[in-house]
Amino acid sequence: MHNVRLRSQSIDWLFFLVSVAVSALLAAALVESAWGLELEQDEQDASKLIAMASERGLDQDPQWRRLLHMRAGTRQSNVISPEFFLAPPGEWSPRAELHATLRAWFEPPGDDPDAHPRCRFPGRYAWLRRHLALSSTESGAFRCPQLDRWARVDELRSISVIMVSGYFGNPASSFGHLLMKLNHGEESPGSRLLDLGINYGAAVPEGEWVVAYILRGLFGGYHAGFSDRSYFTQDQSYSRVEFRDMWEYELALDRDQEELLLFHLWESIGHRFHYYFLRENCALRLAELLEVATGHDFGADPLLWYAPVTFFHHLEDADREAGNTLVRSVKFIPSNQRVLYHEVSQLDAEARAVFNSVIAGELHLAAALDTTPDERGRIALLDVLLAYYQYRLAPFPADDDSGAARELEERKNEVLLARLALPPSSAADQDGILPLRRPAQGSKPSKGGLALAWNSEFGSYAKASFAAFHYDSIGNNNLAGSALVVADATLGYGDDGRLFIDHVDFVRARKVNLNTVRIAGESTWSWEVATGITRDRLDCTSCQELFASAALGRASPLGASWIAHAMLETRLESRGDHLVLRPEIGLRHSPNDRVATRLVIGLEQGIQRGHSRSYLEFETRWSLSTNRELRLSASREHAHEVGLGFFQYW
Amino acid sequence: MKRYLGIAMGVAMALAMSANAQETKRPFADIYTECGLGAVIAPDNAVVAAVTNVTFDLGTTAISSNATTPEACHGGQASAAAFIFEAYPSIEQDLARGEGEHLSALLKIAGCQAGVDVDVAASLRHDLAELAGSENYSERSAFERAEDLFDALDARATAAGCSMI
Repeated sequence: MHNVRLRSQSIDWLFFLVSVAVSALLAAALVESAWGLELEQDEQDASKLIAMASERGLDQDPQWRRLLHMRAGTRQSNVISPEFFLAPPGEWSPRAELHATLRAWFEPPGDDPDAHPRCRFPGRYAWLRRHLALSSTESGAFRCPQLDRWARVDELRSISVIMVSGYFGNPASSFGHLLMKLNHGEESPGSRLLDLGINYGAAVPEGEWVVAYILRGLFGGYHAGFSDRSYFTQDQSYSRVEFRDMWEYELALDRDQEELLLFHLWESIGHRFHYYFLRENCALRLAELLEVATGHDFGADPLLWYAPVTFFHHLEDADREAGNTLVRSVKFIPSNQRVLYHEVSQLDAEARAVFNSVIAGELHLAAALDTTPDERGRIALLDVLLAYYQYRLAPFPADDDSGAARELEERKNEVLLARLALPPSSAADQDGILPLRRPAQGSKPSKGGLALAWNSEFGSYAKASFAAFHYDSIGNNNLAGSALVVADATLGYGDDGRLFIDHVDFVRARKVNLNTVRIAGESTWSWEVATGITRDRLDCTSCQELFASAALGRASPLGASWIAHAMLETRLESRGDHLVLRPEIGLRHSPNDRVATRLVIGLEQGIQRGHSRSYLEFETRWSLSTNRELRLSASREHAHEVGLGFFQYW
Repeated sequence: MKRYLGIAMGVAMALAMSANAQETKRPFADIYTECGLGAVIAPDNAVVAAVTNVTFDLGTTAISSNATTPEACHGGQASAAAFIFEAYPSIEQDLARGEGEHLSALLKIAGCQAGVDVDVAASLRHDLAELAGSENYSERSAFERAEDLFDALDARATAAGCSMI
């Protein structure tokens, strides 16, 4: 009986197990069938979408190519990170990448939704949605937690682009820089520092040799990419360490444009590009992002070069064409150095003298405070002293152990303690700082033109000139007597049919220091460096020589429109004396943006052979419009020469 | 009786909230070793990690990505730690004056609402006076000073009911 019962129980168990197995197999078959049907359905949908995309030629749409960072007329994407592409030949084929992107839409979410192509390439899908009815079989919204947290689309107030002024401390930064800023949340004091800054730059090894830096920068020797960091890090770097002024253009984009820009940025961040200093640089990459988002042409397909100011010229042109609906506002952000000079200028003469005595080490802080019995006066003095020591310490690395840094640090702490012992006060008023003219308010950077000239020795001749970057001391720019000229060449063509080089400036950089506020220890020097080819004498057409020069001197504003300068130039030449000294004095007059004139009188003294000759240069500019001008020039150096030319900037 | 019950419940809730907050608070050094590029470059050394966080992006910009930032590095504490370390001189200057945009930004990160922020700023100014008045302030590294100020902010913000975490 027992055995029978056992057998019966065994049969029951066997029946149960078989039933479970059969049910499981049936269930699996059903799931597989449903899954297979879903896959089949997805495959059919993907094929339909691909057919529709092909019919509409989306793979060759300029916007699709831009989303792949594939410039017009090229066959390969500028992105060199393989993970940026879903199709194996994606970097070469916009079509293959489009098909792979459409198929990837239907991939199941998996365990990590952030890794899904929909979360990795939201910009592509945002654009494709405008052209195709992308649908999906999964229920509920497809979430991308990382992207949502980063983009915070609902909190986005606006997007800004920022022009950072040129910085002579780094050759790549001489032409300025371009940043983007994502402005989230309500605007309030200090909120701009917490916005997200977007940068594009090259990954340069620390301590790179400057010649290698220039060569690798010119010829694509560095990898580059977008980075996203809190804006206060950029404010720290550009305003407080490098003392660069900035202009923030807050854009008035609509919500679709902002979303596409954010999403395209998200899919581009972290991927690598080759960096080319002249063309494929920060300005071009950020201009490309804005072209994708807005559809405006910001000239991001240049032939040879693209400077940050070029982008802002395009932006202001596009804004004018759009009836001033593209840019909401432009704000000038003075550098920390400019703020300091302003604060010092706000002290009365007596307090300024005390301030200079303290920082020069001629007067102890305690004695300085004793001479200022008024508490408000002591607060003002300590505030400016603290600003000064922070300004001086900013370029030092953190925990710099050098004697200079330690001494400044101790002096700063002494001021800090004294200041903390007094009541708080209102922060310094920066409204009194006069905004600098926007770089894009002046002429565009490249210049070409024709001129007729007459020379007292060989008669009349024609001149043709071209400059890749021409912001000279009397140009229609915001440099106020300073200059940056690169690759500026002028050829002459005489009556006798002879073609000759009139002059070439490979590089000419001039910094005119016009600070009227004196701070002890701060440089008051003006300087110029230049290298190029010039005619040795004005009375010949075949006496060209290579030169390299450096000049140092002083400049001073005389009223609102005049600047006087005196400089001593040392010049190395390939002909004649080889080493010459050229002391000169000069005047610059610019009553308004349309007119500027310069007059220079100098003496050239050879060191080796002792030759000596005087020279005179006069040049005046009349702007016919922002980018067109006439220039009249006159020179004397052995011979006399006058010229009149018409120039166009682009 | 109801009054005592209410007080007891209030104390219990405050203790629970405090305990909860304690669980999520992290020391300054941990935040820096775990977060950002410093973590990528020098995950085991707090000082080096903090320094690389700053220098990596100065001058020519290096490549970084938000996607590499660990989950634990989002939120007020991590933001405050980064902000204090990287903008310490400007915060110090604003605290000395009593106001300024860096101080406003710091209080915003700390989650201090209007009204409370003035009190927190005044308390923090007092804390800085004590820190700067200590004998070895000039000898302390940038990292140590940032850590001191972070701790002071953390305490003041918690006491004032700010929502930094």
